Amino acid sequence: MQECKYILAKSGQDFAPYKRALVMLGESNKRVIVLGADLSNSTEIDGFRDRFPDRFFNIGVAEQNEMNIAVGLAIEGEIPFVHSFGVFVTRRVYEQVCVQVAMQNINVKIVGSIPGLTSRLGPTHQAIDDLALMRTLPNMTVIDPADATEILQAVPAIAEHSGPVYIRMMRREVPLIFDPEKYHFQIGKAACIQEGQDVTIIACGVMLQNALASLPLLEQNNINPTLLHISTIKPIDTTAIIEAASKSRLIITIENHLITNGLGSSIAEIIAENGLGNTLIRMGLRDEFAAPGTQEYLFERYQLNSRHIVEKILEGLKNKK
Amino acid sequence: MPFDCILAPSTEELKDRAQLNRKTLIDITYQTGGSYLAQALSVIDLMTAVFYRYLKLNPSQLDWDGRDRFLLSPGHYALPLYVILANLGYFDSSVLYTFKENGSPAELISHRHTLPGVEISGGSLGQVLSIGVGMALHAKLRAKAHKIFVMMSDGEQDEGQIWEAASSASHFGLNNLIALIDKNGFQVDGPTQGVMNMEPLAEKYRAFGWDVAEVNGNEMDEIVKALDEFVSKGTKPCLLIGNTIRGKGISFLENNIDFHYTRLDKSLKDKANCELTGDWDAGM
Repeated sequence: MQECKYILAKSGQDFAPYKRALVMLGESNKRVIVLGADLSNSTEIDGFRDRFPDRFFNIGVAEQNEMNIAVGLAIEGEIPFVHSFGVFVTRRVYEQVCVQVAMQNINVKIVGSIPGLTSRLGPTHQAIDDLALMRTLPNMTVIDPADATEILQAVPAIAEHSGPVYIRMMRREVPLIFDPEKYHFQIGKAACIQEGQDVTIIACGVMLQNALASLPLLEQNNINPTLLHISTIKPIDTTAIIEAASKSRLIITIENHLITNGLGSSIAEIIAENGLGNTLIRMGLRDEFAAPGTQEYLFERYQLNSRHIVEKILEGLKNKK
Repeated sequence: MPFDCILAPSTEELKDRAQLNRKTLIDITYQTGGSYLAQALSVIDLMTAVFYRYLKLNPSQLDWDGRDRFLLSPGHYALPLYVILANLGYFDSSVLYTFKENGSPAELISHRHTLPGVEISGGSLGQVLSIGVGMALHAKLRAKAHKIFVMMSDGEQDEGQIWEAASSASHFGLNNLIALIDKNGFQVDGPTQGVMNMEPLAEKYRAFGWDVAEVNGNEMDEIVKALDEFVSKGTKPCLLIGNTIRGKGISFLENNIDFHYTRLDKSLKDKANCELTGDWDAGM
């Protein structure tokens, strides 16, 4: 776990960090191959395509074929990055991922664009179960980055990592949360952003923004929280979670995903298996498919924005008394 | 018998080798309580031809990059693959007699690297042609001369992914990819014509941009003639459709739907051996 202080950048945004990260990776690692499924611009692989046309293959709208072509490439020593929207590279090709990628522990990197409620295209395009599906697979590493700095650092890290990885990918305007000079992304390591004693907030992915936005509101209510950011859902940083859980009785998790078998469930397992006895509130989609709409609208509709985080914490603290 | 280069035996030698492989298949099926023997007997001529005449292999150096890749798509055809690999010296043939025992590496369905020489897992049908496309793309990209052979069944042609892979193979100009189909006309629920008719299979692949040859897949002369042509020219991905007989060589197995999975008692085993060798004392 990193030091709690000094890792945050001044708030801001970064345009298309993945596009840049992938081109930089292509420069430094000639074994990196990019596979697309007719969504080159939407998944921000067009930069790589234009820079390294020999190492770019558009497989068309055929994700099953795409995933297993990646397996063939990876067995031969290439490092394929497989792209489509998160729903298609998980749900649609689940058996291909399970049998040929995970079961054989093949070095394929699966990049799922526009995770969860960040897609405005409705439930067919909202990957709200991708973390659950991928977390269930033995050998699979699962990453949900929160900002541009993490994306820029995670892309070379997963290429370096030997074995299958699923990573969620934000695109276009991506928040800049961590100071690129001071933050060091590591697979399997949590980041403590703030330490307090009243409640422990654990966030992943895009929800870190909402958790950060809740901090001033909590301060107004004289609530001093611990904030832990989890970017690697699997293997999860159990040590950091146990430590964070020891700071307060109440833990609240927030994820851009169903509350089942993603972040919240992972934390619940750690609390239960280690006999920690914390009270846990899980924020996320609750056994429902979401509506189409903007991120702001959906976070409001499904009660996932900073105001709702504060309300849940106040309610949780009141119930404890 | 390890070797460093292609064996390329004659058609006559291949015929003899296929019969010896049949004999081993029957023996293992009898001794280990059962196998997908009927399918093994339909495919064994095709696989014998590919392994002993065409594949560049080095059983003593498994990761030799210049080897041709043989990818078995229907993993339940594992036993003929094991028999051939053992015969070529990849592992001791005693392993064959542990076929599908608890803890044995000779699993009922072949999985990548469970035994030396097994390149890929094929338990779930319809996925391996795509893997072959990926390997062929790699060979093209890195200017490597080896070829990728993909052995498929006719039943798995029902899978849509096969056709995604077939499209992409011709789209990318993969003339280093040679696929084979053991078209024995049966799938689990019965004749393929009745379960799901995929004919005209050869015309479909041609329409997808492949060079296709269709031969009697139990006639070594026809197999060799077609594959000789494929390995010498090759401007497109190639497909050899072998029309085969399930249970070929053993009368009571041939096209008998009761033997999707085959168990042989001693009298059936003896009968099979007699038919195979023409020596009616062979089973006594």
